Amino acid sequence: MNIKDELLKISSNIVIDEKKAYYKIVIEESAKIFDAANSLKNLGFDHVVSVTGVDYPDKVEVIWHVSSYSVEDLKGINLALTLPVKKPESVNQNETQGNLASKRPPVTVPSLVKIWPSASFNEREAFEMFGILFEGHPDLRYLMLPEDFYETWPMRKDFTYQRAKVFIE
Amino acid sequence: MSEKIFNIDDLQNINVEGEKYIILQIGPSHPGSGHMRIKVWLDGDIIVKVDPDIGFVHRTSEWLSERREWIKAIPIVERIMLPDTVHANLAYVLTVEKLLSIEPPPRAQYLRSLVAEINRITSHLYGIGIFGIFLGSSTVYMWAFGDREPFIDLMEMLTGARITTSYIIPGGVRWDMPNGFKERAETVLQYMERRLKDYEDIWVKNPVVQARTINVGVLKKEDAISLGVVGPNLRASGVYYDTRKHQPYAAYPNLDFEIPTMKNGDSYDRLLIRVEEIKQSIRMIRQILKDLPEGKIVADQIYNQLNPVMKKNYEEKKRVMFPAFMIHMRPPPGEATAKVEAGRGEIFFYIKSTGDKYPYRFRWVTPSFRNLPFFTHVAVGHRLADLPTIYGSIDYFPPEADR
Repeated sequence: MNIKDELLKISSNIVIDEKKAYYKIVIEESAKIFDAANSLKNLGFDHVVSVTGVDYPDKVEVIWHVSSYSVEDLKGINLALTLPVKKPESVNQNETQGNLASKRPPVTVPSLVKIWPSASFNEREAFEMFGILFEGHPDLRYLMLPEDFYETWPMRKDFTYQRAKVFIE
Repeated sequence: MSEKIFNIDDLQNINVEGEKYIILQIGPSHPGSGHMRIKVWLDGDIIVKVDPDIGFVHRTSEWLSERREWIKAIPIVERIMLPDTVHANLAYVLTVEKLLSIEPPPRAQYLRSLVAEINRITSHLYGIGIFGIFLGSSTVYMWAFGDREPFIDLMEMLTGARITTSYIIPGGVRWDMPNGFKERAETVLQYMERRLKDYEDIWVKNPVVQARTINVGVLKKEDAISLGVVGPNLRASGVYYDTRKHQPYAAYPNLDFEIPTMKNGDSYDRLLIRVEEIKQSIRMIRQILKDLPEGKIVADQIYNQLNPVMKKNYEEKKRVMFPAFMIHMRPPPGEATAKVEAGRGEIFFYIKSTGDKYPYRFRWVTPSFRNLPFFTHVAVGHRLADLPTIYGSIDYFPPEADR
């Protein structure tokens, strides 16, 4: 199997560095992510290793790292299925507190749990850390963060936190 | 035993509201090997639904690492995976080396594999001991933790620290092998081989253990693949996959070893496979001690940056001190991923560099986090008394899952 040709059938925007075992495929529109994920699964990428976001000033890049346990040729490949999403405009600019969701609204992408059940816990983590709403995830709850961190999206670059005001002299 | 539910949709559609089911909260104060809460819905004593509530020992390792110099992430990732420190260290360093395009010399590669295999044995002994105390055998718990000690002493002899070694640095390792290490290691290996026979007599072939573990917590091959579980738990279900074979790193391409797999995928197989892997690790350590090549223990790019005092130290004490390059390290812009087979399973790293002093995105996934489906999918349909068996058999470590 020539992995490059197979990936080019799915999207024209791919990056391959075989020496460093680095494979990346970029899907530009979120409407096409289901088809791409289905084609990858049919190729033999049968499980998700990690789901995460990368925060940029104007967009959030959602990355599903997928790999294979069943197809011998693909066992050595960590493929990054990437979907860049534009951040929506803030609803309320006058809000003074920096962490409210109204000022930093979450981005919405389709969930791939239906295709890869192994993405379930990973998508929950990406949701609470980056504010990525995975539409269609059957159980999108907070996983690790305590209640006072709700809607703060702490892994985004503009996250600010209040230091404790208690000092012991 | 009722029929198992593997379809994630069905699982979510169970109506657990109302008074029919008892909700039992296990934890969060240390139900087993660390702090986590397991919320269990019970019909009588049959488990209907399990919701693992993790995050009680979340230590924000990704957030911290994105706000520190590159080299300072090594202690952070080590302290997350305490029984598996060398592998966490190795996985991170492999990713950084891919960004820096540095290749360590052969002797450093062998030393990395050596310390990694010693660490794998300690990790498996830790897992076997915890499994023992879960099933109520404090003998095996004491035995395993006691037998872990000689291997930790070996690590101390080689690296200068018992657990958090910080031994592996970009470009090589920090210490060369000391005199007398080979003889000491051979003594320890022979001791462990003797002890493994004792373990088989009193623990592995014990009818009580077999009665409590065989056909408990069965994970079929197809389900193991689709749920994406890792490590010995994956291989116990019959999937032939090991990162050391399929994405080789360190000295593993040159070593002769086998990947043991099992068929049934029950708790007993997950115990057996750890014993088998200890035997393979012993075999690998013997090969490494025999074939260890001569030469430098750091890449030339690092060695050339040592100042004369450091070079003298390197020649006399066989120790690499940190050149200034390490703290001012700025890997060129790009992205890299790396995988390492740790004792509990596969560690995955994804790091994005923008050529800055700090990593722009630091992402890592630990094996225990990926073994969480054992709670949500495998424990369902069993009796409550089998939950500790399943928990113990997957060698789950909450601080590692939370990161």
